[in-house]
Amino acid sequence: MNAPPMLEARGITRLLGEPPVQVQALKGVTLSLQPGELTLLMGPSGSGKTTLLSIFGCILAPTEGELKIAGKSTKGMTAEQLAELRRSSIGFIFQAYNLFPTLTAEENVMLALDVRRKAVTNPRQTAREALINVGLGHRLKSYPSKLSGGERQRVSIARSLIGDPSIILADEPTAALDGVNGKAVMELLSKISLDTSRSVFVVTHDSRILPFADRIVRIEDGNIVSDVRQKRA
Amino acid sequence: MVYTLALRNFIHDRISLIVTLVGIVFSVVLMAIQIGLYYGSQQVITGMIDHSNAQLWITPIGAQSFDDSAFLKGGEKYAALSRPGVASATDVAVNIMAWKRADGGQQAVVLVGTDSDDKSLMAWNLIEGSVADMYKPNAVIADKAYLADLQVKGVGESGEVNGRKAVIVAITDHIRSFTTLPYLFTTLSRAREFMQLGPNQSGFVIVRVKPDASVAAVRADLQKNLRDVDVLTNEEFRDRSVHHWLFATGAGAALIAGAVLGLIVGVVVVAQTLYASTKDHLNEFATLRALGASAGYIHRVILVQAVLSAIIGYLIGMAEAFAVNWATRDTQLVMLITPGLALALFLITLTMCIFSAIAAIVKVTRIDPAMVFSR
Repeated sequence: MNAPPMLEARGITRLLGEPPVQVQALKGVTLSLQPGELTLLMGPSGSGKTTLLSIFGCILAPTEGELKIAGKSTKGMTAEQLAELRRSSIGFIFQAYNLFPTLTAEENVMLALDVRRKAVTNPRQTAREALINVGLGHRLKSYPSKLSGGERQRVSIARSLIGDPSIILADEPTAALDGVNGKAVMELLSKISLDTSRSVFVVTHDSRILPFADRIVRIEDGNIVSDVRQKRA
Repeated sequence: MVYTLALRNFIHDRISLIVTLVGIVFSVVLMAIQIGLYYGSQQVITGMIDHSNAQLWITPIGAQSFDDSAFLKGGEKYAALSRPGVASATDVAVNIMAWKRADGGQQAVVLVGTDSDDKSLMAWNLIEGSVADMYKPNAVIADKAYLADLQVKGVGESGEVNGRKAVIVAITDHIRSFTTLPYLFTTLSRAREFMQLGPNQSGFVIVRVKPDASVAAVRADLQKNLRDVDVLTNEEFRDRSVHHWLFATGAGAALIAGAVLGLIVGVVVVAQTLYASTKDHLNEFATLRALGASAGYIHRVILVQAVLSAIIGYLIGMAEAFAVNWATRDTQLVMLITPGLALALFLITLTMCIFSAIAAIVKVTRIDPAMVFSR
C-alpha cells in the first residue's frame, strides 16, 4: 500500500457531554484509510465507533488530534469549509437510509448531485445511471415508502456514490436488512471499494459481513485494539 | 432541486399546508379589506375636492372638510375676483339638510349647490339624466346608492328639502359620502333658497389662478386681504379633510389597526407552521447538512417554502378580497383595491412569510448533523 491514504487520523480524542458529566469517547485513535480498501470498524456499543465515523465524516470535530482528508488537514476549518469537504470528498450511507420521503429514488440521487454542485449535462440521466448501477433501474420513480429495505439502502449507496467522492462512510449499512439483502448490499460495497480511487469505511456490529472486508479494525472503550488485514472473499 | 424539495415538503403535510394557507389568506383578506376601506374612505372623503377642478379653496375659518356645514359671510367670490392673479372664483353652497321621505320620515342629506355656468364641482358619473336637467324646476340629482334611503325609485320621483319640493332629475353612480349622508346636487341659486342664504353667500369659494400667476402667491394674497376665511390649496384641503375624518374621529386608526392585526396574525401563523414544518423535517435537513449542503442551501429550501406559501396564500386571499369588493360594490361601503395596493400587499405578504421563516432558519442553523447517526 504505497498510495497516499485517502484519510489519515492521528491521535484523535473526543470528549462528549459537558463538564462535570464528560465522557472521553475516543482516546487517541490513529488510523488511515487506503484507496481500494474496504475497512470494517467493529466494536461493542459505546466503544466509540459512531463518534469516530462522525469525525471521519467531518461532522464532529476532534477534541485533540488531526484529521486529514485527501491530504488536507481539517484543523481550524469552519463549518462551511467542512461542509465543502464533505461535498467534494465524502459519501455517506446511513443505517436508517435517511432518504427524503417526498422525493423519488431518482430525485434523492439528483438532490445529492445538486448539493455537491457537480456540473453535469444531464443530472437526471446521471442519477438514473447511478441507480441502474446498483440494480434499481426499475425503481427510478418509486418513493422510499414503496421500496424494500434493501432497495432503500441501494438508493442510499447510489446517492453516496454520485459526484464520485473518494471516501464512502457507511454506518451499519446492513443492520436493518435481512441476510439476503444484507449480503447484496455488502457485495455492492465490496465492488465499489475495488475502485482504487476510493476507500470504503464501514461501521458495523454485523459479523456476517466480515468476509467482504480487506481490513478489520476493532475498537473498544475509545481505543483501537486490533487492526487486521485479510484477503476478502 | 431546492425548489422540488421545498415544494414537496410544502405539500407533503396537508394539514400543515392548510393551516399555513388559512393563516396567510386570513391575513391578506383582512389587510386588503381594511386598507381597501381606508383608501376607499379617503377617496370618498376627498371625492368632492378631487372633482372640484380647484386650485385654491376659500373656506370658513377652521372648516374641517367639504361636508362641514358652516357658511362664509358673503361676498368672498367678488373679493377674490378683484385680487391679482385670480382667473375665476366660484361659489359652492354646502349644507346638511333634511329630506322628507314619502313615508313622512326624514333623512339628512348633504345639499351641494354650484354655479350654473361653471364647470366646477358638477355632478359626475351620471347614469340617468344629464347635468342640464338640474335647471328644471325643483331639480336635484341623487346617487343610485342612496335612492333607498331617500325612498325614491328613480328620476321623476320627489320629496321635500326643508319643506320645499325637490324632484330627482338625474342619477349618479358611486358618489358616496364618508358620513353616509346622501349628496344631492342642485344649482347654486336653488341651494341658496333651500339653505336660506343671502345672494352672495356660500359655503366655499373655488378659485383658479391665471396661467402666469403663482398659486402660492395668490393664496398668500387672498389670505392677507380676505377676512375671517382660510385659504387652502387643493392638497391642503384634501389633507385636512382626510385627517379630520380618518384620524380626529379615530375611524382611520381603527382601519389601520385592523390591517396591522391581520399582519400580526399572518406572521404568527406562518412562523408557527413553518417552524413546525422545519421541525418535522429536521432529520432531512441534518441529512442535507451531512451530505455537504451549505447553510445557504438549506436556508433556500425554507425560504422557497415561505415564498410558495406567500404566493399561493396571496392569490387566494386577493381573490377573496376582490370577491368581497365585488359583493359590496353597490353598498355605501367603499373599498378601493388599486393595482398599487395589490402590489404592496403582495410585497407585504412576501416579507411577512420571509420574516416568519427566521425562526425556522435559526432552528436549522443550529442543527447538529451528527443526529443523522441517531438510531
